[in-house]
Amino acid sequence: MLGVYLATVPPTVGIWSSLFNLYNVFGAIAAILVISYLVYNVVKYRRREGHDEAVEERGEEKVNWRKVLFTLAITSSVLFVVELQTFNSVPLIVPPQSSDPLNIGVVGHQWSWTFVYPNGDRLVGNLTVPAGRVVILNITSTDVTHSFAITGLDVAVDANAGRYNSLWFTAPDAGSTYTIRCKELCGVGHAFMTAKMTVVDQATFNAWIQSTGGKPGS
Amino acid sequence: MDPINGGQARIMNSWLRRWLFTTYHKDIGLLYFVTSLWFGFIGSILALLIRTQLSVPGNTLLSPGSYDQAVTMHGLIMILWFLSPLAIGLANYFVPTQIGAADLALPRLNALGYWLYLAGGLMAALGFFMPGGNANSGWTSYAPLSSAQYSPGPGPTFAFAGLILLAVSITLGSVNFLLTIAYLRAPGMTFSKMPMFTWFIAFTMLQMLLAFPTLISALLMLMADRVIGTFYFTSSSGGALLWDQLFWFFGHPEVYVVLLPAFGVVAEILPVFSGRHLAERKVILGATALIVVPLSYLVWTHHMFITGINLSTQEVYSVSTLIISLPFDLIILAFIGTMTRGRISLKTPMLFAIGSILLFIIGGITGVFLSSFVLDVVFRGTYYVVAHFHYVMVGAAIFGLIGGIYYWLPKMTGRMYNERVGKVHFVLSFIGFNLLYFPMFFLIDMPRRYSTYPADAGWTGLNQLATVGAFIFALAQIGLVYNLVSTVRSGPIAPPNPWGAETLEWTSPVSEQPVSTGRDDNRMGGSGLWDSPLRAVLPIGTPHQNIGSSTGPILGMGAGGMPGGGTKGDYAHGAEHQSSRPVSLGLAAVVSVLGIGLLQYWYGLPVLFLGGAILAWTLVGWARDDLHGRFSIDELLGQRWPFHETVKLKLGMWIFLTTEVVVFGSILGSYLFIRSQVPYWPAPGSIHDIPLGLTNTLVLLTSSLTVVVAVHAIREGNQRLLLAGLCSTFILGAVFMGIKGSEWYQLFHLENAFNFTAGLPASVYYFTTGLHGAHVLAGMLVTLYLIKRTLNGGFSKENHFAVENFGLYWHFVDILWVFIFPLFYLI
Repeated sequence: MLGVYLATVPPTVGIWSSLFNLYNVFGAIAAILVISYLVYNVVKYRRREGHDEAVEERGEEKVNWRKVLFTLAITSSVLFVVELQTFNSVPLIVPPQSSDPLNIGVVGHQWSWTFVYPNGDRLVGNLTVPAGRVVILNITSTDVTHSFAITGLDVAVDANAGRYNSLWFTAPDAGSTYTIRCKELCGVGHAFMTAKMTVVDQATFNAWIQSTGGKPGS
Repeated sequence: MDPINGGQARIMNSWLRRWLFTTYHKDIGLLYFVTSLWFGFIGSILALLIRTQLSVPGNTLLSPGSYDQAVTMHGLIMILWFLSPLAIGLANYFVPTQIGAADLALPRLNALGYWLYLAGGLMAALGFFMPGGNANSGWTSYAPLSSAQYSPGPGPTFAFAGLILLAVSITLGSVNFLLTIAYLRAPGMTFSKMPMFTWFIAFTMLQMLLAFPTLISALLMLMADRVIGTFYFTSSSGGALLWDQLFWFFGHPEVYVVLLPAFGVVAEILPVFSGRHLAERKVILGATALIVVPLSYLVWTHHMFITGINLSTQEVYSVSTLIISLPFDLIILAFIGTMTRGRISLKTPMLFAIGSILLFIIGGITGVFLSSFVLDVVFRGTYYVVAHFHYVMVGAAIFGLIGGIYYWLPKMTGRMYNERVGKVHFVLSFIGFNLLYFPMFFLIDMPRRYSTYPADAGWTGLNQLATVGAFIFALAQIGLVYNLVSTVRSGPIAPPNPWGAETLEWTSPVSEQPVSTGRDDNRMGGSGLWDSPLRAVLPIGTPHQNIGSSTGPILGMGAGGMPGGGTKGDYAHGAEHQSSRPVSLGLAAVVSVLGIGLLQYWYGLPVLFLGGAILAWTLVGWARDDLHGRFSIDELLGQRWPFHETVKLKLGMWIFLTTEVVVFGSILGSYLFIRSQVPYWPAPGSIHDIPLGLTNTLVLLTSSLTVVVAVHAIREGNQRLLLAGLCSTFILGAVFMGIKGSEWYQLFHLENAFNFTAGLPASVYYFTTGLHGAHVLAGMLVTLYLIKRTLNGGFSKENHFAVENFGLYWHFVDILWVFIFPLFYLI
């Protein structure tokens, strides 16, 4: 069961989730420690009614360098560990060396997405990709700035007029669908600028793309 | 005439005069304070509209267009017209008193700052009532969505022009505060003794000084695009990215601009209510000065991780962002350490200070998440980011500043607030806040600024929690309003130093100085119950109090309320500390901006001319005030500063020129960015006449020499040579402008008219040389003033700092041309 689950996790999701988990673990520990320290101090040293003992002399202002360095060392080590893992997660952004990637153009405009297939086909609002294959999207815009994001695949990049940005993913399961959204405010249709992504098996994809007139993507 | 009504009218008149014409730092502080709370109220209403709209999926309460306006203006108003001005209000009131200064260095500039802030805010709010509505491209105003093509109409123009006024106001304020903190500290008030609030305001002002000019540049370019049709942000040759770069170069330091005053407040409150010294004061100051402030200018690209910038840039900015979390780590631990072994008194100010720290811990740690450029791929543009920055801006900043309001309220009003209401206010705010924003950390896949969402997206429950939290948080603020109003009206009289604080504003030594006597002494005397400045500015109070014989001080005029009836009484410096010029300049700004926004209609141009006329009239009046010594307080000089200190006055000009360097740095940087993006650029000599340009360069450089002559002449006391130098400078400036004008004229009448809309090279040329020309023109106007003053015998060997300062300015404008000339004519 677990094996099946693991097998169907898209690689981009695997990278992002494990990185997020690492940050969550360290972040939660740090937050709990520091907030507990804060609350502990507030409770422990709060002034109690009736216990109005003489006011403690205000301490001399003196820098505790050992404490400062200790704090910096601990924090830096944690930051180093998580940042190292971020650097190790760069494959989320950089497409893998694949012998056979499928390149698809994406054009954002107010307020829909147009997908341009290698055979020259243009489809609005509907992206169909083959399962298990590296897909590279080259994304641009014809008007304002949009941001192309596939919910559930943990990939996104901005769409700017006059330039191409790219992202990659592999969707493992034929039959699954994803929602594509715009993440950058682009006018009144921003919330409705969605598209549907359908994953089909390679044979179906080839048949579909041939039926629309061109040769299979290569 | 009914004597009572007549008297009432006179009192009303005086009341108006006081608040319209004041240049006194406490009055202006209160104006900022009350105005910012009003803007906070407007921003909160917009926030509640947003949360109500999102409470159910598919809601149609707000149309997408209205929603976009609400989201945009909520952000702009809250950050720029509420949060920072609230801090500036407290700073106006307390920074001079904390350092023992009589007032800010340049009181009229301070008043001008307030009126420009208000003028900008009114213009931004007016946008809602225009056809097509207000700005709707998000507070970040991303290009090209913010262009005339995608956001047409006067509304967005008003909002962006309003932003320019605000940015100018803040820049003026930062010059003023830095100058004050540098030179107007009382004897003995060394930097090592300076209170933390003043320190953090100094840091804030330094950040503003270097960040806001970039915003001014970007907005001026945006306005040029919108109004005269240039192509800075609308070209597909990197226009969108250019805006991103400029905006975030301002935008990230702006986060610290919002945050640092609150840290300053917390650093005041914590030791007082813990009964201990602030722990690691030097570490806090060092970390902020050496790491936070400089590094804040080197992290902006983390807002642009998914704009398509290259990987190594992402890595560098990810690391720099991580480094900036280290000083905050030290600061927070020092704050907590201050409480260790203290005797913590959990009064309302302390509760809000602790709340501020606690919420900042969450906001800060999630900020580390966002520094990861890989995680940011998913976070960017979603509610995770919204949650993060609200924890910082609302949690840390607003909680801290509210703590400051409670802390200083007894000082500002002379009365105590209701502690129980304060505690309820805190508890409800804390609960409401967390219920409002914590759920958003789980809306990782919901994009920001969605006007509505489908039921099947799975976002409904979290959004509803947030909406409930929003209403609890909003209702909790009734506690604040109740406490403000009831304290002013009927709070029990506060002891002079209710918290046992050790900073100077509580011991009020300012009374020794004539300029700042007045209401403080009055209140301290215990009899001036009605003279609370806050009372005078709030629209409350019962009628009989307002006309009572001994209640003049309520309205800020007359001296009847002074114990002993001293004539220097309540509004100590009275008329001689008033100036009608700042508010008049504010009016000129409003009318001019109205005209610019309405240029598409026939009446736009006349309105713009009217604004220009008011501006000219005011400037002439201001100059006449100076020539005749009408504004009799020696600005900056005060009483203690002998004239041989005037060399220090140059610091003000240097600080101002720093902002100018950033303004033009951004503009020339934009030029270079555009050159790197466009495939085509006209060859040197093909459009611009190189010999003519060179001649003009020589003319302008010669005028620098004549300025040097003028300055040296007056240093020797030679008034005739000074006059000759100034006149030559004016003539050379006029020749420069004349040649420039003829160049423009010729370019406009080329076969392929090289006009404003003739493409990117033309856009950049006209904008840059136009702005430079405007600086030359401003310098020429100042020269006229100096000539007139020289003829009046207004300068001498000992007193001529205006000439010195003008010299610096003129050299700067000339040096600027030395950069502009080759960029446009030679390469």
